Amino acid sequence: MIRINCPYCGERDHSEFSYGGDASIKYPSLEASEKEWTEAIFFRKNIRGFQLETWHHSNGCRMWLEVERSTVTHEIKSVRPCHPDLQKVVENNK
Amino acid sequence: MKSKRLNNLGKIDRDKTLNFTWDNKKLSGFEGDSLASALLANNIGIVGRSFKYHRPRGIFSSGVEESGALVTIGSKDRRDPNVRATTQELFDGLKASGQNAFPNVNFDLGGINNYIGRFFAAGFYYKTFMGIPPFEWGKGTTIWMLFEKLIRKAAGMGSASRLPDPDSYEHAHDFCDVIVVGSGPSGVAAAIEAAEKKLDVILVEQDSLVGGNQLSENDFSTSEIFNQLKSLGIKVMTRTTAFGLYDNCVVGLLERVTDHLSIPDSTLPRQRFWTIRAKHIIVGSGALERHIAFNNNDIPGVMTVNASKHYLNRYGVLTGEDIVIATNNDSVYETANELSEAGANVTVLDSRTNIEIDSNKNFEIRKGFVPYNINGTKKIDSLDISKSENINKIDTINCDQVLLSGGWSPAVHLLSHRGVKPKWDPENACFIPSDTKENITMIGSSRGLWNKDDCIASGVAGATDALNRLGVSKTNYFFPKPGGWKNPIKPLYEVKYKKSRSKSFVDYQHDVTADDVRLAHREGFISVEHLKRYTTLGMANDQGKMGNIIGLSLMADLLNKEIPEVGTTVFRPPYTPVPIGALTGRNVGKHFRPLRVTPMHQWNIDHGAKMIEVGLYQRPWYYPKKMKHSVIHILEKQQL
Amino acid sequence: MTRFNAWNVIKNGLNGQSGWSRQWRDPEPKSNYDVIIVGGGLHGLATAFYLAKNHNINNVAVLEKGWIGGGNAGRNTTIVRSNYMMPGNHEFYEHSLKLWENLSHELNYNVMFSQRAHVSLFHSPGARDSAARRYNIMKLHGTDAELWDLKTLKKKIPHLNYDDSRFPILGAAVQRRAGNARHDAVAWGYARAADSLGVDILQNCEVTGITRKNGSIESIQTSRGTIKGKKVGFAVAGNTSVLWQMAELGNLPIESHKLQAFVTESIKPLLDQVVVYGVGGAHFYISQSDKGSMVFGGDLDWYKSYAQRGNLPIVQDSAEAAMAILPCLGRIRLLRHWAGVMDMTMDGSFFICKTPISNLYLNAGWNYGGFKASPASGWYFADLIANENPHNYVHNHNLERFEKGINIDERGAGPDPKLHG
Ligand SMILES: Cc1cc2nc3c(=O)[nH]c(=O)nc-3n(C[C@H](O)[C@H](O)[C@H](O)COP(=O)(O)OP(=O)(O)OC[C@H]3O[C@@H](n4cnc5c(N)ncnc54)[C@H](O)[C@@H]3O)c2cc1C
Ligand SMILES: [Zn+2]
Repeated sequence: MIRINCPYCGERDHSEFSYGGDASIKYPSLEASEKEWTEAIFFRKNIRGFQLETWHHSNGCRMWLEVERSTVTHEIKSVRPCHPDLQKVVENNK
Repeated sequence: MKSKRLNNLGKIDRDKTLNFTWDNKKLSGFEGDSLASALLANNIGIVGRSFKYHRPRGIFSSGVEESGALVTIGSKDRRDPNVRATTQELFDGLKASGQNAFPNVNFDLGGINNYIGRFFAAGFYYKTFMGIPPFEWGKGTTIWMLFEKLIRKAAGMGSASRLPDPDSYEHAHDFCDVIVVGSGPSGVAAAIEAAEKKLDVILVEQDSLVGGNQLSENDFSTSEIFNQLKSLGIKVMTRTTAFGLYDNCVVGLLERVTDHLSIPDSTLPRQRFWTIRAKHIIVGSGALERHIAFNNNDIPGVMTVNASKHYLNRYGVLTGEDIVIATNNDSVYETANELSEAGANVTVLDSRTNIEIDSNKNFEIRKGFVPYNINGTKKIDSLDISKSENINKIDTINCDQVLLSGGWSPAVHLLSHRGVKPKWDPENACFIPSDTKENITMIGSSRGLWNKDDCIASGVAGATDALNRLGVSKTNYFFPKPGGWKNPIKPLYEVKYKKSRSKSFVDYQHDVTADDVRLAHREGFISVEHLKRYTTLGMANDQGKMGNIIGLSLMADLLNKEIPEVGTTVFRPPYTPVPIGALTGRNVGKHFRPLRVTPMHQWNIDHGAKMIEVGLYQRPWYYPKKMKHSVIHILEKQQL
Repeated sequence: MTRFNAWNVIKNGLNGQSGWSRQWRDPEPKSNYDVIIVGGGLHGLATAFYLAKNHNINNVAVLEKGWIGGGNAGRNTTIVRSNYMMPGNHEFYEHSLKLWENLSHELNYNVMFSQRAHVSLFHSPGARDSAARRYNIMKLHGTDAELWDLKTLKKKIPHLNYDDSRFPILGAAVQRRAGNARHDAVAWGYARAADSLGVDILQNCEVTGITRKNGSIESIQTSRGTIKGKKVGFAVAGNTSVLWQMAELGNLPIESHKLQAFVTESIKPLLDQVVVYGVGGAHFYISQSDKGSMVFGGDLDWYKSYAQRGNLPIVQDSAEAAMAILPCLGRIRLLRHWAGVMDMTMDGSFFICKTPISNLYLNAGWNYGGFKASPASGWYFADLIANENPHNYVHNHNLERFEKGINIDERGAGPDPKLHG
């Protein structure tokens, strides 16, 4: 069981969350070429090691979180809200 | 083998007789017996048949490493195949029977396989059965599938009931600072140390009693220790196996709640599957004694030395009359003493010559000797022995039991679940655990420590390690170094038989012999995993707890390498098999998934709708015709 | 090489098994090969065999970082079927099944392919309709397919949960020619046959670096030295992205996820078919091996991972799914569970294609289904490497299909790799 330390709920089982996927993807502008959009939607770095990824605390606070996790050992380095403004709030409340 | 119950010794209650049946024969034992000890007390030698050759199988051990005494207990919808008699507690009314045999384990027609066994070497099935013999004529899969039918019938061990499992199971959850696995001296010391430093501690023990291997000691009191643990606020869970370690210090436990009761309280689940989220895991899972490969080393009456000690001091059963103990290490001498004091006629063959043994006494020690071949088929008639140098039969000892100790293997299984490879310790001839970054500490014999004081010290050190890692303290600690015997162990894995076609078993349940390992080598299956898969070594119910190292050492020998260069096999969870029912818990039958309904649900039912499944919802499919307002009609009207 | 047959088995039974020798050699790496295949799983080994057999290209090496068959090849639940309906997929998997049917004879190695029928349960009229559609498409293409009504199903498998299940069992879509095979034997059989045609199987030979020059691969660095190949094929399943990045090729439409598998203790015959179902968010498949173990599996662990071990939630899920259809399994004990790293793609279909590097060819993206694909995968990958042109069946199985909008999405699940299976 991976234990994810939700900034709102505390440490919880990963089975309370849904995995969102690669958090490093930046979607291009609407006018961008098909190639760029294809790259963003279909292509992945598929990192073997620590990666940024999103998890949704779907059976908890329902917040989207950004997690830095090793895809080899499942060790988690950091968890924070996805939204930059919420990140700040969490930081300030620490 | 002539095993019998003694009037003294043991932690059984001789005032409470329990009746049970073995293959429909009425027998009795005492409260505190295991099924295995009760069978031995009744002098039952043959309790099973092996997988491939259908060789008679007796009781090899007294614990989870058992690969011979697999029996079926219960009947009808409560039939449990492949139960280890060694870990099944006896209860009044228990029904046990032999399996994988026809008509029974004493006389089994499948035993013919033993005589044509020479054609059944490792992997022979990959080489034939594809087409019409002898040259495999034909195409397609038809012919293979004809053979396959027969093979499937012959394979398998016990047979399962086809009726739904009537018992209920439960899921439970808990949290703690430290979970300690094992209640031997090391585990108990660790638990006490951690609890005294105010940590929240859970101690799990697969056995019904706490004490670990001390249960094989005559003067050991389990209740004293139990009470001490309790008084410190430690949650002590007996009959509970830590079957797997998962990410982030999560431990899976199986608690057997009613398997030892004759009429369980109907409100109790049969078993509980616990998910424990700990901050630190301390593993004191002990070590398992190995056997030695030599010709006919599987005849009923062969047992590990430690098992015999358990049967003597825990169950008051003397497992033989004329006992030969074959060893390569010091761990057997106390047992030899006790067995002879209990009335057995004991001879010790020690493969070593330059050793000092301070033992008294009423048994003979033959230094520099090893077991060579057992004579007998269903029971031991005598043992041929050889000098440890220059292997050849030079003498025969009449006996009814042969006890083996080929060294000890620390139970590193749980650590292996985390992907941590153990390291080879040549001095002690065993794999010992490597360090890990995760919050897991190995202590006691599972760390390769052989004597009690070292085990206790390692328990305290393990708890200190946990305290430090959890930030509670910053105390120096040290672990005693592996080992602890006066005379060094001398590796002894196989005594090679001179005649061709030997049956020197490495893996008892799956009938893997030393020759099979040699064949695998000849055919290029030299990596450990290939060896395992080609010969099926270590793939049986015990996952090779006794035999793996022997197989590895034979391969190392053939390759002229050291054991660690050949590799280690990876142990997978669970440590011991876990019923699927326990993993499922309450989510059976209609409770498999929740039922979701629409606000119209009851109306639909009331109006006779035929309901169908749509995801987790039920919706009306149609309303049988006699309905006044048929939905179909409405839909048609609205042209939907 | 001694042929495998009953005659020789008996002969060796009499002579103490002394007539057998290595099933494949253990050669030193040569400095130059015509084709280097990276990955000693089923796909790599099959490719090497068909290169030699179908195209007379024998100067071939298979580089395996560990021992052959140690990846997903030796971890899967061994289901072989061809119930696909998308163009390309259907023809490909049907050809694969045909190759399976004769594989033991072709390789002179009993891979124990048992056509014990693949029985896919349905639990609602809607599911029956969609099964009917899929299985009718199969029939139209000449593949065997049938629907079993409840009566037939009950007769064939009486101990399924017909009375008390949350989702009623209404019948099954069945492919009789489908079944199971012995995974290790397939790897060893291909290795032995390829070896006898001159292929070098190099174990403990990990690819650690790739040197490119003028748009092509010049050499490959391995743990056993530098090796050159005129052509290079990748067939490394879950590790594809790692090699791809070693070749500095950027991103791929692949994510690595882990899939668990489970086996129980051996029991006497309990289930003669492969039974699968998917309902209420569960997805489950089970069969019984010839040794007697129940072998089963379910969903991915639901998060990206390169770890070859699973976590408890899916253990529990799979156990539940098992009991839901076979309630007698409650007392049967799980003996081992493990995981493999799956190369999940954005549409659930595979890649057998050329790459931006002129002499590099890609075989990847096998999702849950690469075991059954192995023979055809080797066949068409060898064909691509030898002839430079993708065969008709696989001409859309390339990396450009997403940009062109010709995704081959059997499930219709969209670009979320964990949803394909
Ligand atoms: C649990 C599970 C159940 C499955 N069930 C089924 C099923 O029922 N039916 C079905 O059809 N399919 C199934 N599959 C899928 C199937 O097993 C795989 O799709 C298939 O085996 C992949 O092809 P392969 O055998 O070539 O891969 P692998 O066996 O994974 O081969 C890849 C090889 O590449 C090697 N490698 C990686 N990196 C390097 C490097 N740098 N240098 C050298 N070598 C390298 C690896 O060691 C490995 O041996 C299942 C998979 C899993 C994990
Ligand atoms: Zn939360």
